[in-house]
Amino acid sequence: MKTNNISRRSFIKSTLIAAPAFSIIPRHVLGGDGFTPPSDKLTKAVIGVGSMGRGHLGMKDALLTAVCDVDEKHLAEAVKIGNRIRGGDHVKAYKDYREVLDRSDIDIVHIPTPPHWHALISIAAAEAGKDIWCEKPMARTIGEGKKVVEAVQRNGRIFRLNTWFRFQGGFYGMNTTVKPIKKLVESGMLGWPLKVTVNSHTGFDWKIGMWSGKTNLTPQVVPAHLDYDFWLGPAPYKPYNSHRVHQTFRGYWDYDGGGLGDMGQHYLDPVQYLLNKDDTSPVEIEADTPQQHPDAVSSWRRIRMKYADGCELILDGENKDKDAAFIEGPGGKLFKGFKSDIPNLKAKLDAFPDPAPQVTDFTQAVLNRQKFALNEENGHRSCTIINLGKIAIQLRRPLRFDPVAQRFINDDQANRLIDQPMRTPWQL
Amino acid sequence: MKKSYNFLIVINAVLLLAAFSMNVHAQGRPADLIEGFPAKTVSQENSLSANIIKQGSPAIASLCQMLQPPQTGGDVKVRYAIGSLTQYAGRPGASADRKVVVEAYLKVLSSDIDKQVKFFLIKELQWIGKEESIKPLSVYLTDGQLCKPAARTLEAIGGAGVESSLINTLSTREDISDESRMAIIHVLGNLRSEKAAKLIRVYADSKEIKLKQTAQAALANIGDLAAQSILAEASGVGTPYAKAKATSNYLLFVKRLAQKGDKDKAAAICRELIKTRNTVEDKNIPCEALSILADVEGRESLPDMLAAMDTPNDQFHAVALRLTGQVAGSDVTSQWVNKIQTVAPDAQVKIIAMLGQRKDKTAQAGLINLMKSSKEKNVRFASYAALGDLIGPMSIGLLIDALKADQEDEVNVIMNVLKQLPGEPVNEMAAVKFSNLSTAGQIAIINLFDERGATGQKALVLTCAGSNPEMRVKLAAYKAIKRVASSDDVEPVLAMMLKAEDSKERSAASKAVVSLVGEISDPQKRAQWLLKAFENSTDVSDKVLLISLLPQIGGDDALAVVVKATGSDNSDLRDTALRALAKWQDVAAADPTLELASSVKELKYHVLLMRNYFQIVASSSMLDVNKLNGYNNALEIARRPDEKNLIQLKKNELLATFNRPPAGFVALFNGKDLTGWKGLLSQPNDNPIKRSELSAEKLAEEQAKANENLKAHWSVQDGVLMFDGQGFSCVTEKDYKNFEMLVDWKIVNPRGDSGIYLRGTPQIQIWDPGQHHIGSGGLYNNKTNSSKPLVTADNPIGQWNTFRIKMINQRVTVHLNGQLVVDNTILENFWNRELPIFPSGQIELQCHGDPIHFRNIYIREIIHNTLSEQEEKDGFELLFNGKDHTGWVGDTKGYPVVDGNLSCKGGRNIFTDQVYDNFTLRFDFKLFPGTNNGLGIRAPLEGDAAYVGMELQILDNTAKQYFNKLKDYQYHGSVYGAKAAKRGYLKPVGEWNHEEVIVDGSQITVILNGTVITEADIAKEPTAEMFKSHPGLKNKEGHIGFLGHGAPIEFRNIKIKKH
Repeated sequence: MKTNNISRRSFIKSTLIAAPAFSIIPRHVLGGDGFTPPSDKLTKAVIGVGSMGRGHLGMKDALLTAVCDVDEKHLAEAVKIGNRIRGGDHVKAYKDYREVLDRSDIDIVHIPTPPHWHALISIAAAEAGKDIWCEKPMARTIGEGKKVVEAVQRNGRIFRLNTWFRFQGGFYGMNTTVKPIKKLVESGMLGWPLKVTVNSHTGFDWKIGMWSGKTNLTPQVVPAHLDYDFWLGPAPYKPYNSHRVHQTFRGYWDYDGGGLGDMGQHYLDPVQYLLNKDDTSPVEIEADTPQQHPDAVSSWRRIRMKYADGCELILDGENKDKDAAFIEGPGGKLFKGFKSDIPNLKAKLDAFPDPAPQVTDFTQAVLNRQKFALNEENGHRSCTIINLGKIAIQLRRPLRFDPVAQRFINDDQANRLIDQPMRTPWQL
Repeated sequence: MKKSYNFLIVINAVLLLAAFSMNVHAQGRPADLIEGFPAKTVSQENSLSANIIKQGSPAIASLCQMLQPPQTGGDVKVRYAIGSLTQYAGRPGASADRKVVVEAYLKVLSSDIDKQVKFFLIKELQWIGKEESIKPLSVYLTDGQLCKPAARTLEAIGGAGVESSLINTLSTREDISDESRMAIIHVLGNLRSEKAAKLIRVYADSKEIKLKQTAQAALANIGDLAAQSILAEASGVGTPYAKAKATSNYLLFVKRLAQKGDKDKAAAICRELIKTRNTVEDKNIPCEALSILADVEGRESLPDMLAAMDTPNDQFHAVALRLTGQVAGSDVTSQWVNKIQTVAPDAQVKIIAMLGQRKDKTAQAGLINLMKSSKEKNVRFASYAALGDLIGPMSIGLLIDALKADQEDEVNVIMNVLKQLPGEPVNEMAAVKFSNLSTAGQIAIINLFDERGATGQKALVLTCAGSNPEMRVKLAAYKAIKRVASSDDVEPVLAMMLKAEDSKERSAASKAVVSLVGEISDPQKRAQWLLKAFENSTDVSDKVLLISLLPQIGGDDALAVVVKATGSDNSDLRDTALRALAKWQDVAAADPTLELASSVKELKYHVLLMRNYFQIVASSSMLDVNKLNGYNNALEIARRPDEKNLIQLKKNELLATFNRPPAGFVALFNGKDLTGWKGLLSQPNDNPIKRSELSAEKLAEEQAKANENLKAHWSVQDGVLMFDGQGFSCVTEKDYKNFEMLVDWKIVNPRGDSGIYLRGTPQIQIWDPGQHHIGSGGLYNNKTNSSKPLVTADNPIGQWNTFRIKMINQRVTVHLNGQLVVDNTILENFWNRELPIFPSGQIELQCHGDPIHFRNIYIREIIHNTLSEQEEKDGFELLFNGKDHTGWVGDTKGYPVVDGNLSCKGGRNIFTDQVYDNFTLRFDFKLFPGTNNGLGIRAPLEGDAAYVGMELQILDNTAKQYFNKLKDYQYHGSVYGAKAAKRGYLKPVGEWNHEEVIVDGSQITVILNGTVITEADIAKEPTAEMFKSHPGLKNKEGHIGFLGHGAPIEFRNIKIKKH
């Protein structure tokens, strides 16, 4: 049997670096004696406090200190919720994220804005010396993602992308966390190369209907509480319509990429991890889709990607492959609910080594300057899958990708989708 | 305003068309070109695009002329078509196509059209524009509205042509706005235009802050040497973020400097920043500077990386260690190994981890040394992991040697590393070195064997369990036995158990024994080793232990031994046996448990045994009647009032479930007396044909006689209808047509025989399959149609059986004990074989001369398009009479009445002639593939009811054509356009669904097949937009209708109650 050459691991082991082993210089020292929880040693701001951002207010990584939004209504609501969570009235409101970055007493910024802002704010935060907790998808284009990686690493930042299945939580229809699946892949029992099929029969709903755009938006008056020009930021100026903003923005290429953009990284980041592709990307991409509108994202049928070693990825947008295994290789298949055609799978797996442990406590990662389990590097690579898929359904022709240069081979138009200029004065 | 605007567009289009039409052949009208867009498949799309391109630029231009600014709308197809052309013409190797398309875009762009349309075309050019687009696009650089899109497209095109055009505009047009200037400078920066540097520098200290920042960023990106002092200065002033941003600019400048060849200067600036800016506020700045330095100098910056560890900046450490990865070489590794000795333990830990991942074996000796000799725990810990990383399986021996450590945290760290290494080699090496390990190490290894199910290490585990001097190791080994050993090892483990003296060990060993015997596949054989040991043992304490384990193991032999031991003279043994029996959950223990519960002297054992007996009866899969017997037995021997109360309670609960009809059924037998039943007339009047010929007086007389006879032979006891085998059949007072019937029956004695007559006609057979070798349930008297059951599904004689019988028109379906035995088969007319079966008649429980019992006799009559008694009481009315369209208006022809159903083959709308406001509506519907209909409520008779009234969607949303096409509010049961329904409660296409719709004020509730799928408040939930497009949401009353969209569907049982 040919085995894949999975290197043993690439992460620092979380278990051996206990927090007390490090001296920590907190940015601000809280008064009083007694124990201070690690998360109380750090402060955070949440930039973008719409429906997704509100969820970040209560995350227990650090003390909420500031909130920021270009919609006054969202901002006022977030201050209220934030103060209730934190207690007292410590939470300050900002409209311009650069003023948040001006505060040297903030350690971490959360970025649950729409995706067209992710790279800009991530890079600004990195340059301002903040650590970063960014919503998925990591970046709207491959070019933007690449620059986030550079800025984060150059500035020695800790970056966490907000999806988590590679290290915790039930993995949709698989009836297990990702860990035993990783163990199975590493065991070699499935053989190599592997084929992964992602569709709603295994619990991975593409939400295509939910996050499709409209094709003929009538201009509307911008509500007084929203600074629409600021909301657009680097995106092209198009007349306001309420469907462009707040949640439904997902249906427009200028800001996101439909259900694929919204849910894709949840589903595919663990796949990159499972296939040990955290430092690379597919080399062939092909989509079967009805035509897409130049402005609005709509439904697609199927996206097939292939890695250099023959591993394959099927994104089944029609949820057609009812009986497809989630992962299959020459040695066996793994189905929904961790069912397999390999008899006695669970007992057999026990005999194999564990996958490498991962750093899964963000606060500790920040305090100890450790790379988080899902960070700028592997996050960028899994986001690249999303962006490759988006480009494939926009261009509707087979594409070849060079995962080292991160450029398409012999397709100028496709490469123009990798690097998309921003609207002045915004730039990376 | 709007009007004249459209007019202008038309004029333009006409002019352009006129201009082009000269040299274009076979050109379709522009409107024809967009037919087919958006294309469904790629090949369709490509052929559409190819066809348009074939027609040339003028045709494409005429297409572009159909674009409209967003507020006018209606050009969706055009936008799809143009998007497709851009994509198609931009494919590799299609330069001719690209030229044709771009030519058209540019032509239209230069005409007098709306700026938002221009914006769209400029955006399209961003994907396919090249040299030819530069000049036409540059025109817009000075346009307030279009300068930014134009700049973006020019940036995407890039190259020297764009550069010179931008420089030209920036230098010659002094009248342009700052916005335009910024857009131009922005692009020039990204193009790294050295030629533009001088021009841009002018703005680098502008009073306009945005302009200044844009200029500085551009100069940094260009790497303009002359701008160094400006950029350096900016990096030290302003707010914290302004400083940070400016410093990043400055470092970008430094990077460009190096790229242009001035490495020394670049490196010097980086080192300067590392020195001067390494403060608590700016921890990231030395990081950034070192990163640039490493890019510039490569390995020459190694001393700077090493030196970073001497500063207190932990962020700087992390970056230095990461950058080391970019510098290859064993000398580099050596320098880091040496560095370890000079730094504090915290920093040592980080360096060690880096060395592990560096995969350079030069570090191996150093790491081994640290692992073995460092006094710092964390340093040792880091070394274990790093060695695992560095040398993989080669580290196994070293790591296992380290398990001599007796601190638990240290053992845990080592084990965590070992657990990631290949299983077999770890197991084997651990076995070899086992005796040298600390107790904590041994325990950890045994636990590992356990976790991994290391059957290869069985011998070691058994030895440890039997003879390791450390009790903690023994206990771990006993625990591991379950996974590493098998049922072949019961004997030695059993021996170890009996040998053990320590009570903890005995308990651990007995758990091991129980788990091992549990793997023996035949449950009856599981106890054999223990029983043998019991027989051979003379030691009472051993015997006691063995007996105490038997309830967990089970088996009839074991039970017999336990029962026997309850009579032992030895009180310990007897006590243990009684307790063991009181834990025996198998049904086989019921009788002995009951017996001993009755005879045992001590109250405590009586109570325990009674409790067990009661549980066996209550929880077993015993048939209800046997449970009833069990409860009766228990009641007889119960000694205490609380026991009696509990049993009585359970018995009553059981009895209460008897003869209670399930939902939708009524009881034919009330469980108490013969109400609803009468006697069958004696021959020849058992024949319905003969019976119908009797005069009323004669019939009454005969019936009176038959009823007397019935009372003599049919009786009711404990909810059971019992027949003594004499007399005649027992028959329902009422006649039944179509129905579903449930009935439990029991043949009392072997060779017993009976049956169920439907519509007064024999019969569904009940008999002893042991005698006839054919099961019950068949239509015994059929001659032409099948008379035998499909399978034999009978329970043994003396046990209860259940029929589910369905009779629709002439056909009968029977399930016996859950299995299909008669499948939709015609029941022939026994009384006159020329005739089909009677349309209705009495149901008869047959007398065949043998005792037979019945109970739980239920029926559900199937009569469509009629009201049930309950519905009549509740005030329902029939909306559809099952015969014609009385009460309906509209496209009644589209909904013919067929077999009592409103059967739509493709009709449009039909409405009630009455108007309803608040109501409860019930109806059944059957979907066909792709059915699309709707229930209109509060609708006017004219207009589209979905908008001017309300439509509750009726849809086969599983149909292929709707796949991925439906909005949430288009699924079945949704208030169309306003409120989405829950999905997944429709029955498969072709089966009947039952729906109830409750409309009450603004509340709409839809209940589909018993599940509430929609609960909407239509006053509050819809958005303003929805109200605008669906004004009918506000209607207070209107007609009820079925809104056809040309697809088939059937309806029946349409009933309404007004509120």
